[in-house]
Amino acid sequence: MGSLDIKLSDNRTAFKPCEKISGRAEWQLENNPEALELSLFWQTEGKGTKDSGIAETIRFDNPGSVGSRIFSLRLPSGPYSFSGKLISIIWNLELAEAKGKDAIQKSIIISPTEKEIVCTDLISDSEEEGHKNSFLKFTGKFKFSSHRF
Amino acid sequence: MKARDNPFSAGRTESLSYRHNGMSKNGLLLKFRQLDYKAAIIGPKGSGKTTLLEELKRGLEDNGFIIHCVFVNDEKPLSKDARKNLFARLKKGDIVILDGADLLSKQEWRRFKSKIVKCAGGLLITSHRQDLLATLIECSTSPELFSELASHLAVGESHPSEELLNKIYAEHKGNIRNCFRHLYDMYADKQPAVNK
Repeated sequence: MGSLDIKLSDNRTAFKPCEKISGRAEWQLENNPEALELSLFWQTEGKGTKDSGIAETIRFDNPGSVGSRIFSLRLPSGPYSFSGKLISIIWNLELAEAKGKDAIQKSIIISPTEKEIVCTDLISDSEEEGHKNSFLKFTGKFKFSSHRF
Repeated sequence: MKARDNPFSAGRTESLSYRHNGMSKNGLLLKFRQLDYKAAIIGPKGSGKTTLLEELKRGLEDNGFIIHCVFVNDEKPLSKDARKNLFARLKKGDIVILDGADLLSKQEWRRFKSKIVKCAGGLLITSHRQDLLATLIECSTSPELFSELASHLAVGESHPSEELLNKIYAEHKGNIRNCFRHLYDMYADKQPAVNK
Protein backbone atom coordinates (compact mmCIF):
# COMPACT_ATOMS: atom_id res chain seq x y z
CA MET A 1 0.00 0.00 0.00
CA GLY A 2 1.34 3.42 -0.95
CA SER A 3 1.30 6.68 0.92
CA LEU A 4 -0.13 10.08 0.07
CA ASP A 5 0.31 13.33 1.99
CA ILE A 6 -0.83 16.96 1.86
CA LYS A 7 1.43 19.50 3.56
CA LEU A 8 0.04 23.00 3.88
CA SER A 9 2.36 26.02 4.04
CA ASP A 10 3.28 26.97 7.63
CA ASN A 11 1.25 23.91 8.77
CA ARG A 12 -1.87 26.08 8.78
CA THR A 13 -5.26 24.38 8.86
CA ALA A 14 -7.53 27.43 9.39
CA PHE A 15 -8.14 30.12 6.80
CA LYS A 16 -10.31 33.10 5.96
CA PRO A 17 -12.80 32.90 3.06
CA CYS A 18 -11.32 33.79 -0.36
CA GLU A 19 -7.81 33.38 1.01
CA LYS A 20 -5.14 31.86 -1.24
CA ILE A 21 -3.69 28.68 0.23
CA SER A 22 -0.64 26.76 -0.86
CA GLY A 23 1.17 23.58 0.00
CA ARG A 24 2.79 20.46 -1.32
CA ALA A 25 1.16 17.19 -2.38
CA GLU A 26 3.45 14.19 -1.89
CA TRP A 27 3.05 10.55 -2.90
CA GLN A 28 4.87 7.25 -2.81
CA LEU A 29 2.80 4.58 -4.52
CA GLU A 30 3.31 0.96 -5.52
CA ASN A 31 1.72 1.51 -8.93
CA ASN A 32 2.14 4.18 -11.59
CA PRO A 33 -1.19 6.07 -11.61
CA GLU A 34 -2.58 7.78 -14.70
CA ALA A 35 -3.27 10.89 -12.63
CA LEU A 36 -3.65 12.21 -9.10
CA GLU A 37 -6.33 14.72 -8.13
CA LEU A 38 -6.25 17.26 -5.34
CA SER A 39 -9.81 18.30 -4.49
CA LEU A 40 -11.22 20.95 -2.19
CA PHE A 41 -14.69 19.90 -1.09
CA TRP A 42 -17.28 20.39 1.62
CA GLN A 43 -19.31 17.65 3.24
CA THR A 44 -22.04 17.51 5.81
CA GLU A 45 -22.03 15.28 8.85
CA GLY A 46 -24.95 14.85 11.21
CA LYS A 47 -28.36 13.29 11.67
CA GLY A 48 -29.40 13.34 8.00
CA THR A 49 -27.91 11.71 4.94
CA LYS A 50 -24.43 12.95 4.08
CA ASP A 51 -24.12 15.51 1.32
CA SER A 52 -21.02 16.91 -0.34
CA GLY A 53 -19.77 19.01 -3.23
CA ILE A 54 -16.47 19.81 -4.89
CA ALA A 55 -15.36 23.45 -5.01
CA GLU A 56 -12.16 22.91 -6.99
CA THR A 57 -9.96 20.10 -8.34
CA ILE A 58 -6.35 20.24 -9.47
CA ARG A 59 -5.21 17.32 -11.63
CA PHE A 60 -1.63 16.05 -11.76
CA ASP A 61 -1.26 14.00 -14.96
CA ASN A 62 1.37 11.25 -15.21
CA PRO A 63 2.66 11.90 -11.69
CA GLY A 64 4.89 8.79 -11.50
CA SER A 65 4.86 6.42 -8.57
CA VAL A 66 6.93 8.74 -6.35
CA GLY A 67 6.86 12.51 -6.45
CA SER A 68 5.55 15.80 -5.15
CA ARG A 69 3.95 18.95 -6.58
CA ILE A 70 3.49 22.41 -5.15
CA PHE A 71 -0.08 23.67 -5.40
CA SER A 72 -2.01 26.81 -4.64
CA LEU A 73 -5.70 27.57 -4.82
CA ARG A 74 -8.15 30.30 -3.88
CA LEU A 75 -10.68 29.32 -1.23
CA PRO A 76 -14.36 30.07 -1.89
CA SER A 77 -16.26 32.78 -0.03
CA GLY A 78 -18.36 30.21 1.78
CA PRO A 79 -20.07 28.37 3.28
CA TYR A 80 -18.15 28.73 6.52
CA SER A 81 -17.05 25.74 8.58
CA PHE A 82 -19.95 25.20 10.93
CA SER A 83 -21.25 22.89 13.63
CA GLY A 84 -24.72 22.72 15.12
CA LYS A 85 -26.48 19.86 16.84
CA LEU A 86 -28.08 18.62 13.62
CA ILE A 87 -25.43 19.33 11.03
CA SER A 88 -21.75 20.15 10.61
CA ILE A 89 -20.22 21.57 7.44
CA ILE A 90 -16.69 20.32 7.06
CA TRP A 91 -14.14 21.43 4.46
CA ASN A 92 -11.49 18.96 3.32
CA LEU A 93 -8.60 18.72 0.94
CA GLU A 94 -8.27 15.29 -0.61
CA LEU A 95 -5.39 13.82 -2.59
CA ALA A 96 -6.52 10.72 -4.48
CA GLU A 97 -5.65 8.50 -7.37
CA ALA A 98 -7.94 9.47 -10.24
CA LYS A 99 -8.90 5.82 -10.86
CA GLY A 100 -7.91 4.09 -7.67
CA LYS A 101 -8.75 3.59 -4.05
CA ASP A 102 -5.76 5.31 -2.43
CA ALA A 103 -6.69 8.69 -0.95
CA ILE A 104 -5.87 10.96 1.94
CA GLN A 105 -7.95 13.76 3.42
CA LYS A 106 -6.97 16.80 5.46
CA SER A 107 -9.67 18.84 7.19
CA ILE A 108 -9.42 22.60 7.11
CA ILE A 109 -11.45 25.44 8.61
CA ILE A 110 -12.84 28.24 6.44
CA SER A 111 -14.27 31.06 8.51
CA PRO A 112 -13.77 34.83 8.96
CA THR A 113 -12.46 34.17 12.49
CA GLU A 114 -10.41 31.14 11.37
CA LYS A 115 -12.44 29.13 13.90
CA GLU A 116 -15.35 26.81 13.22
CA ILE A 117 -18.66 28.56 13.83
CA VAL A 118 -20.42 26.63 16.58
CA CYS A 119 -24.11 27.13 17.21
CA THR A 120 -25.13 24.13 19.29
CA ASP A 121 -25.91 26.11 22.44
CA LEU A 122 -27.03 29.33 20.81
CA ILE A 123 -30.09 28.37 18.81
CA SER A 124 -32.93 25.90 18.88
CA ASP A 125 -33.19 22.84 16.63
CA SER A 126 -35.89 24.50 14.51
CA GLU A 127 -33.72 27.58 13.98
CA GLU A 128 -30.79 25.34 13.06
CA GLU A 129 -32.99 23.51 10.56
CA GLY A 130 -33.68 26.95 9.03
CA HIS A 131 -29.93 27.62 8.78
CA LYS A 132 -29.44 24.19 7.17
CA ASN A 133 -32.11 24.96 4.56
CA SER A 134 -30.54 28.37 3.87
CA PHE A 135 -27.17 26.65 3.43
CA LEU A 136 -28.60 24.17 0.97
CA LYS A 137 -30.26 26.99 -0.99
CA PHE A 138 -26.93 28.83 -0.94
CA THR A 139 -24.98 25.84 -2.28
CA GLY A 140 -27.69 25.34 -4.89
CA LYS A 141 -26.69 28.64 -6.47
CA PHE A 142 -23.27 27.22 -7.30
CA LYS A 143 -22.45 24.46 -9.71
CA PHE A 144 -20.91 22.08 -7.18
CA SER A 145 -20.56 18.62 -8.64
CA SER A 146 -21.99 15.70 -6.77
CA HIS A 147 -19.33 13.79 -4.86
CA ARG A 148 -19.93 10.53 -3.03
CA PHE A 149 -17.58 8.71 -0.74
CA MET B 1 -22.49 18.04 21.14
CA LYS B 2 -21.38 19.10 17.66
CA ALA B 3 -23.01 17.11 14.85
CA ARG B 4 -19.62 15.98 13.55
CA ASP B 5 -18.66 14.59 16.97
CA ASN B 6 -21.91 12.69 17.44
CA PRO B 7 -21.09 8.95 17.43
CA PHE B 8 -24.50 8.21 15.89
CA SER B 9 -24.21 10.59 12.90
CA ALA B 10 -25.43 9.18 9.59
CA GLY B 11 -21.87 9.05 8.25
CA ARG B 12 -20.81 6.79 11.11
CA THR B 13 -23.87 4.54 11.17
CA GLU B 14 -23.73 4.10 7.38
CA SER B 15 -20.12 2.98 7.58
CA LEU B 16 -21.03 -0.01 9.77
CA SER B 17 -20.55 -3.35 8.08
CA TYR B 18 -23.32 -5.93 7.93
CA ARG B 19 -23.17 -8.39 10.82
CA HIS B 20 -23.57 -11.86 9.35
CA ASN B 21 -25.58 -14.23 11.49
CA GLY B 22 -25.35 -17.56 9.73
CA MET B 23 -24.32 -17.38 6.10
CA SER B 24 -21.12 -15.48 5.22
CA LYS B 25 -20.75 -13.04 2.31
CA ASN B 26 -19.16 -15.74 0.14
CA GLY B 27 -21.92 -18.17 1.09
CA LEU B 28 -24.52 -15.62 0.01
CA LEU B 29 -22.73 -14.97 -3.29
CA LEU B 30 -22.69 -18.72 -3.96
CA LYS B 31 -26.39 -18.98 -3.14
CA PHE B 32 -27.09 -16.03 -5.45
CA ARG B 33 -25.36 -17.92 -8.27
CA GLN B 34 -27.38 -21.05 -7.46
CA LEU B 35 -30.54 -18.94 -7.73
CA ASP B 36 -29.47 -18.00 -11.28
CA TYR B 37 -28.55 -14.48 -10.16
CA LYS B 38 -32.14 -13.51 -9.41
CA ALA B 39 -32.91 -13.11 -5.71
CA ALA B 40 -34.25 -10.89 -2.97
CA ILE B 41 -32.94 -9.70 0.38
CA ILE B 42 -36.02 -9.62 2.59
CA GLY B 43 -36.60 -7.86 5.87
CA PRO B 44 -38.42 -5.09 7.72
CA LYS B 45 -37.31 -1.44 7.74
CA GLY B 46 -33.98 -0.80 9.47
CA SER B 47 -32.90 -4.44 9.47
CA GLY B 48 -29.74 -4.00 7.36
CA LYS B 49 -31.01 -4.88 3.87
CA THR B 50 -29.31 -1.94 2.14
CA THR B 51 -26.08 -2.44 4.13
CA LEU B 52 -25.97 -6.08 3.00
CA LEU B 53 -26.86 -5.08 -0.55
CA GLU B 54 -23.86 -2.71 -0.66
CA GLU B 55 -21.59 -5.47 0.65
CA LEU B 56 -22.80 -7.98 -1.94
CA LYS B 57 -22.44 -5.32 -4.66
CA ARG B 58 -18.74 -4.95 -3.82
CA GLY B 59 -18.37 -8.75 -3.79
CA LEU B 60 -19.98 -9.06 -7.22
CA GLU B 61 -17.81 -6.24 -8.61
CA ASP B 62 -14.72 -8.01 -7.26
CA ASN B 63 -15.87 -11.08 -9.20
CA GLY B 64 -15.90 -9.02 -12.43
CA PHE B 65 -19.63 -8.26 -12.80
CA ILE B 66 -20.85 -4.92 -14.11
CA ILE B 67 -23.40 -3.63 -11.60
CA HIS B 68 -26.14 -1.06 -12.19
CA CYS B 69 -27.73 0.39 -9.05
CA VAL B 70 -31.26 1.71 -8.70
CA PHE B 71 -32.36 3.15 -5.36
CA VAL B 72 -36.07 3.75 -4.83
CA ASN B 73 -37.73 5.19 -1.73
CA ASP B 74 -40.93 6.98 -0.76
CA GLU B 75 -39.46 10.37 -1.73
CA LYS B 76 -37.67 9.16 -4.86
CA PRO B 77 -39.79 6.86 -7.03
CA LEU B 78 -38.36 5.25 -10.15
CA SER B 79 -38.83 7.81 -12.94
CA LYS B 80 -39.41 6.97 -16.59
CA ASP B 81 -36.13 8.69 -17.53
CA ALA B 82 -34.13 6.75 -14.96
CA ARG B 83 -35.67 3.52 -16.21
CA LYS B 84 -34.94 4.38 -19.85
CA ASN B 85 -31.33 5.34 -19.04
CA LEU B 86 -30.84 2.09 -17.17
CA PHE B 87 -32.29 -0.10 -19.91
CA ALA B 88 -30.16 1.65 -22.54
CA ARG B 89 -26.95 0.82 -20.65
CA LEU B 90 -27.65 -2.86 -19.95
CA LYS B 91 -25.59 -5.63 -21.49
CA LYS B 92 -25.96 -9.39 -21.23
CA GLY B 93 -24.39 -10.67 -18.04
CA ASP B 94 -24.78 -7.38 -16.13
CA ILE B 95 -26.46 -7.39 -12.74
CA VAL B 96 -29.05 -4.82 -11.68
CA ILE B 97 -29.39 -3.99 -8.01
CA LEU B 98 -32.75 -2.53 -7.01
CA ASP B 99 -33.14 -1.23 -3.46
CA GLY B 100 -36.82 -0.86 -2.55
CA ALA B 101 -38.41 -3.15 -5.16
CA ASP B 102 -41.67 -3.39 -3.22
CA LEU B 103 -42.27 0.33 -3.79
CA LEU B 104 -42.91 -0.35 -7.49
CA SER B 105 -46.52 -1.06 -8.46
CA LYS B 106 -47.29 -4.63 -9.53
CA GLN B 107 -47.36 -3.56 -13.18
CA GLU B 108 -44.11 -1.57 -12.90
CA TRP B 109 -42.42 -4.51 -11.19
CA ARG B 110 -43.54 -7.01 -13.85
CA ARG B 111 -42.25 -4.77 -16.67
CA PHE B 112 -39.02 -4.00 -14.84
CA LYS B 113 -38.28 -7.64 -14.03
CA SER B 114 -39.08 -8.84 -17.53
CA LYS B 115 -36.83 -6.18 -19.13
CA ILE B 116 -33.92 -6.91 -16.77
CA VAL B 117 -34.15 -10.68 -17.30
CA LYS B 118 -34.22 -10.13 -21.08
CA CYS B 119 -31.48 -7.47 -21.38
CA ALA B 120 -29.15 -8.15 -18.46
CA GLY B 121 -29.17 -11.40 -16.60
CA GLY B 122 -28.91 -10.69 -12.90
CA LEU B 123 -31.31 -8.98 -10.53
CA LEU B 124 -30.72 -8.51 -6.82
CA ILE B 125 -33.38 -6.62 -4.90
CA THR B 126 -34.35 -5.61 -1.39
CA SER B 127 -37.96 -5.86 -0.37
CA HIS B 128 -40.21 -6.05 2.66
CA ARG B 129 -42.27 -8.69 0.84
CA GLN B 130 -41.34 -12.26 -0.05
CA ASP B 131 -43.35 -12.64 -3.25
CA LEU B 132 -41.16 -10.81 -5.78
CA LEU B 133 -38.13 -13.10 -6.23
CA ALA B 134 -36.63 -16.14 -4.53
CA THR B 135 -35.34 -15.23 -1.07
CA LEU B 136 -31.57 -14.98 -0.74
CA ILE B 137 -31.68 -14.11 2.96
CA GLU B 138 -34.13 -12.73 5.48
CA CYS B 139 -32.59 -9.92 7.53
CA SER B 140 -33.61 -9.47 11.13
CA THR B 141 -32.42 -7.60 14.19
CA SER B 142 -32.21 -8.35 17.90
CA PRO B 143 -31.61 -6.33 21.07
CA GLU B 144 -28.17 -7.97 21.28
CA LEU B 145 -27.27 -6.83 17.76
CA PHE B 146 -28.40 -3.26 18.52
CA SER B 147 -26.39 -3.28 21.75
CA GLU B 148 -23.26 -4.51 19.96
CA LEU B 149 -23.55 -1.89 17.19
CA ALA B 150 -24.29 0.93 19.65
CA SER B 151 -21.26 -0.02 21.77
CA HIS B 152 -19.09 -0.16 18.66
CA LEU B 153 -20.16 3.36 17.63
CA ALA B 154 -19.95 4.90 21.09
CA VAL B 155 -16.31 3.94 21.69
CA GLY B 156 -14.72 6.61 23.87
CA GLU B 157 -18.13 7.96 24.92
CA SER B 158 -20.22 6.98 27.91
CA HIS B 159 -22.32 3.98 26.92
CA PRO B 160 -26.07 3.92 27.37
CA SER B 161 -27.18 1.19 29.78
CA GLU B 162 -28.44 -2.14 28.45
CA GLU B 163 -31.81 -1.34 30.00
CA LEU B 164 -32.06 1.92 28.07
CA LEU B 165 -30.93 0.26 24.82
CA ASN B 166 -33.56 -2.46 25.25
CA LYS B 167 -36.20 0.21 25.84
CA ILE B 168 -35.17 2.13 22.70
CA TYR B 169 -35.11 -1.12 20.68
CA ALA B 170 -38.64 -1.98 21.80
CA GLU B 171 -39.90 1.56 21.19
CA HIS B 172 -38.71 1.44 17.57
CA LYS B 173 -39.89 -2.14 17.06
CA GLY B 174 -36.44 -3.40 16.05
CA ASN B 175 -35.82 -0.70 13.40
CA ILE B 176 -32.12 -0.13 14.08
CA ARG B 177 -31.91 2.94 11.81
CA ASN B 178 -34.53 4.67 13.95
CA CYS B 179 -32.83 3.44 17.13
CA PHE B 180 -29.61 5.17 16.00
CA ARG B 181 -31.54 8.40 15.30
CA HIS B 182 -32.95 8.20 18.82
CA LEU B 183 -29.42 7.83 20.23
CA TYR B 184 -28.23 10.69 17.98
CA ASP B 185 -30.74 13.04 19.62
CA MET B 186 -29.73 11.88 23.09
CA TYR B 187 -26.05 12.52 22.41
CA ALA B 188 -26.76 15.84 20.63
CA ASP B 189 -28.15 17.22 23.90
CA LYS B 190 -25.43 15.67 26.01
CA GLN B 191 -22.75 18.36 26.19
CA PRO B 192 -22.76 22.12 25.98
CA ALA B 193 -20.89 23.41 22.92
CA VAL B 194 -17.56 25.03 23.38
CA ASN B 195 -16.19 27.22 20.62
CA LYS B 196 -12.56 26.09 20.46
